[in-house]
Amino acid sequence: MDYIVEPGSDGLLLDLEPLDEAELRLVGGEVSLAGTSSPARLEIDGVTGAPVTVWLDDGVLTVEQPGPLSSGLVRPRATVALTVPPAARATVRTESAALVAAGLAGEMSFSTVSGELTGTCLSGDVRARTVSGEVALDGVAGRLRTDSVSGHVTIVGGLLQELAVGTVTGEVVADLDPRPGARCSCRTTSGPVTVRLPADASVEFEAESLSGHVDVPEQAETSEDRTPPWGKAWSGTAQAWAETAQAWAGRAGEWAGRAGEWVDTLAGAGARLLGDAPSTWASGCLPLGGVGRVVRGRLGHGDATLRLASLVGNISVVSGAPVEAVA
Amino acid sequence: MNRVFSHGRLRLFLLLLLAEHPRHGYELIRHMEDRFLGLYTPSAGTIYPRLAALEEEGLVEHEEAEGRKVYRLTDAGRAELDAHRHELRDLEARAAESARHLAHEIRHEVKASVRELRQELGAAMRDVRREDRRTAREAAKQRHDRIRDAARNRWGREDRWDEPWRGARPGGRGMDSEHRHAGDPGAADRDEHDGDERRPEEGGTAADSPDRLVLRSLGGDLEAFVTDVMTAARRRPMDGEQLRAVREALLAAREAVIGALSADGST
Repeated sequence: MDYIVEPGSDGLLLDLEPLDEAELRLVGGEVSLAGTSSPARLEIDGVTGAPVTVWLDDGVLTVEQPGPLSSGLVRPRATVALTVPPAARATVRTESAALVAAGLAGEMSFSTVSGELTGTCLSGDVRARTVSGEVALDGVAGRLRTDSVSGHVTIVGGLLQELAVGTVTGEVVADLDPRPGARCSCRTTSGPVTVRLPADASVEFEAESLSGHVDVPEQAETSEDRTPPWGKAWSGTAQAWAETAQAWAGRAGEWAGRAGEWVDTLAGAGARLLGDAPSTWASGCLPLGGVGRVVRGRLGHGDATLRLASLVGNISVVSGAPVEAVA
Repeated sequence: MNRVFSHGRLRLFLLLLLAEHPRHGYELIRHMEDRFLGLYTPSAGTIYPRLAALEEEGLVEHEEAEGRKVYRLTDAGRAELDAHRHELRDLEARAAESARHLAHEIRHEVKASVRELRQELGAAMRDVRREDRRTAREAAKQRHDRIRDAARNRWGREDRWDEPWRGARPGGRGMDSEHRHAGDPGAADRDEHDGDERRPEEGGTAADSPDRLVLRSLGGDLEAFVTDVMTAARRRPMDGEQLRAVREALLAAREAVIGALSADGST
């Protein structure tokens, strides 16, 4: 069963049942995705530039609008609203389209070049990648992995089991309540990292920066080290970035251009890229000389772990206000 | 997500749901959740006071059934609903149509909470930084005082043999001042005792006598001691009682050191 929504047409309204999985590949416009107990429904309108194709095959929905190369002069755009069962698996890839996701509890993968990612009431396994778009999540539980180059990442109310945030120049602000046993990490090149933990947090933390400030809560038991194992920490970061870079560089056309921009951003952040291949980074070269600061410490019993690292950015851990529960 | 309803809309929506058939509070909550595609769940704290208010206005009435209050619309309530039919159409359209209408609102709200968090943490960070700068200024001042004192020792007051000692105390605010602030009655005694210890040395005034080198190295040790103590003190905020304990420990250490020196002197 497939449908084609032509540019300038009235759009499409489709009830879908059953629906277990949705994959949206779009260029510009807006995407909203919501988990709901009512029947799954797809709405598409405002299509310009290129037709949107919809397939539904055995509970798997695919919505695609081809990229700018095939559409001529008019930029492809579409407004897509989809409601799915909360546990459905969802994959959304856009170039500049903004995404709003709410009330999902399954496996999610969102990636965009310049679009904003906004999420609320998400639980399960969330993967979010962006180059320059901002990531803003309010109320997220479970696992969250997010990578960004220059986009800011903000997490409000994160009741997480696993968190991995990586940015180059993007700022990271997170209001976290790590569950016992949780593993959280935030790594940046030059983006500042600010994490707020609840007053009764039970966290073992490690915060390191080569040339930035490191602030940790006064009540934490800490020890400080001036000769941190940079090689280990940064090759890990580099590995994550290299993966991201490869993922982006693998995209054709404009996307590859964006990957070039990404490399520029890296270089602009004060880090030296020693070759064309992003994997140069993975070999663990030390981009800047100097002695950094690593602060290790513990709040409460230390049931969860928090690792924060920034090459030149400031790192701050604040303790105090409670994290609001996920609805 | 309580801004899904503008003021007055929730009231109408409740009337509408009760117009369909009588319901109890929890049923209303569940029903609204369904209407809003699971994106908006009104809390009991929102719904029950509204129902009570509606009842006071005479728009709804309730009867107890199986221990629950079941609400139904009164004639006045029906009239109220009719009077606002047009507003409801708009509301229903919003509620029933799709997630898209809520997406804007969600985006707006998430953005607002993100902004709020960033502002809060930004303010907290500014405070921390200010504190940092203050500490750094103090440390710089201490360093400055120490260097100045050392310079004075060397160039200004060569005749004062005990200056390296004094210079070792950062800006004269080291143990000595702590000790005075403690208001210890034995202080004067010990100062005198110190004097007693020094006097026999006064004869050997040659600028580079071995005694002076010994004193210098002792000064270095003391400086390290002061730095360590200050670092430890900075890392841990102290209350009055702890401060007193620490001061006592410092006095004891002082006494022990001086004791060792007098023992040496007497032999």
